[in-house]
Amino acid sequence: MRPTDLLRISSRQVLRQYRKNIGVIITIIMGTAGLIIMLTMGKSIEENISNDLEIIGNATRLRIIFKHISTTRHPIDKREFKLKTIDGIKAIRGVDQVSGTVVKNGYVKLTYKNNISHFQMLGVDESFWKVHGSSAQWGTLLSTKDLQQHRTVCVLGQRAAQEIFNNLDPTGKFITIDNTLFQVAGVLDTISMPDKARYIFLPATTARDRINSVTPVNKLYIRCHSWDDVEHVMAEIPAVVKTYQPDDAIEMFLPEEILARVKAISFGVKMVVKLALIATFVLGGIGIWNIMMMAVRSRTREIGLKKAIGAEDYDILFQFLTESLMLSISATLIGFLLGWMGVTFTASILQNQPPKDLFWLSTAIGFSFSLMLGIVAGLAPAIKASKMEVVTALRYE
Amino acid sequence: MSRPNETEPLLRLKGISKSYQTTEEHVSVLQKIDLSVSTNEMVAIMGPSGSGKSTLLFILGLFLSPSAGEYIINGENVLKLTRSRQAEFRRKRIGFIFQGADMFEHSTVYENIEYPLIYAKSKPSSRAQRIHQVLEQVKLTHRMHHSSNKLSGGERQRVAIARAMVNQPAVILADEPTGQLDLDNSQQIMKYFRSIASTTDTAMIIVTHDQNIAKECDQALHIENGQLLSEK
Repeated sequence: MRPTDLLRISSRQVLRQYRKNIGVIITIIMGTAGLIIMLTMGKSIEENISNDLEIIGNATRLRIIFKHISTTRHPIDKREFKLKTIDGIKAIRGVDQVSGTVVKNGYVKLTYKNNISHFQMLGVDESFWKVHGSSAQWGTLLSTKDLQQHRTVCVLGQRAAQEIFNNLDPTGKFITIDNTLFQVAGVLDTISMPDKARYIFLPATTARDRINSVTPVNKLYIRCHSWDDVEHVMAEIPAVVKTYQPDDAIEMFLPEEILARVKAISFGVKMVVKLALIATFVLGGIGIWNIMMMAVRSRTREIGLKKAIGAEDYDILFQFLTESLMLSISATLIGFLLGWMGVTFTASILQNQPPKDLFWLSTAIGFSFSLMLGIVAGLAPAIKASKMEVVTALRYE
Repeated sequence: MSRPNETEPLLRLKGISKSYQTTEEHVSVLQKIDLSVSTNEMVAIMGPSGSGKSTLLFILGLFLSPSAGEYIINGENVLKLTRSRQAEFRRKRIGFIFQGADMFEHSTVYENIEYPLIYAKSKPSSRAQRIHQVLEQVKLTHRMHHSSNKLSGGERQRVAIARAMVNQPAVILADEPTGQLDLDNSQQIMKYFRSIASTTDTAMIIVTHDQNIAKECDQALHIENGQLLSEK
């Protein structure tokens, strides 16, 4: 049979019998679209899921303090992380943010309209919020300029704000902290650090200027890019500290249990998505196989008739195989369009445009999958049809 | 009515036997059948159900291999050909007409007749003319682009005849071609058969129950219990 005749006969058959194949076509369309969306947007979706889990769990956040070993050269309460040490830690591969904090031993006195209350105070830098994945409930958080210009502004923890201002937005209001007038820049949404809900946050520079009994920067928070980075970052930090501060020993804290749980949840989510995709393709494959097997049965007399008028085994084999391929390829093309729309939609929701190369690579993978599906699922029925004996086929009722 | 060619026959069966071995018994379907058919000849094969006439037709069509014997067409023992060569021989030299005038469903009359040309790898440019010719012979050109599902029984059988003729075979095998037709349609089909046999270099072998059909043929063979009993 000429290839043009083969294509013409097969496409005619697929088009005229499309109603019988509609279920399988839809399955493959959804599978292809899903595969393209997952492969193209998978990393962004994964990052989003990770970030959400991260905010709740803070699983990639390390805390470093000095060991409580007293030496005459560096008394415990005078030890401080040097700027070079912080820069050295920032340079470690996998480190996203580093934040140093100062704290007042005891409470600060806060006065607002003759009401006096006491809260804990933390002096922070601009990276502190990113390290903790925090955002403002009202107003803004402290900025680099606030640090550089030693501004007398503050951020209130959620509960502190409630206690002082009775759930009203305090942004722009003035309060007195330990006899210095501060303007409220905003209120921190403390969902990611509920233990800091009764804290007052000041720029670390201002805190050291204006508040008594403030410690030096003796505590660092480090946020890693991903869970995979945590272990090697932890392994490298002691060497970096030793380089710049050879006399100081450190202790590191990592919420290992949270990390393990977050990893397990993320793994579960990824597995469910991947299994769903595999299931879609397997079902699509079984669908094609089933349809072609049923076609072989229902078209037994047609096969016999074709052989009786001169079709060879390979004519029948190629016809059934081509029909199977046409079914999967046509469904894949529609799936490609749907996938493209899905990627555009998902990208707009996540506000993360994927690289064009990744989209085309995903499309190529989806297309190869579909081609493989058409061949694998269509081969057995095609062989069965081609091997059918003419007499058996003609006598089939 | 033309007479059979008295010289070299087109087709010859020598001692053809066919038997099956079931778990319980040995079944002999055909026993030492000898048959000669010449070009332009019409041969009827008659016999009760289970007598072996369809088996004989399947052997003649190279769908079944006999247990013993020779099958010679134009001097060549076609039983010795490979499966692929037999398929090639079938599409070039043999035409088939089946009892129910089997059509390719959801296809037009044109598409049905085109299939043998496709399998014979004939040039696409010459197909339309050839299909038109054979449809003219069975007077169905006006139905060329109709769906085969919408044809009457007689029309379907005429399409089957056109399809069998399209590759200009040496022999046409017909299995109960009038079995499902009324008298008028049966007579019309026989007219076409006679016309084909007399105007083309084709022999016709027809399996039938109908005595009237057999009378129209040059030879009428009776098979009973796998044996050729009589010859007209």
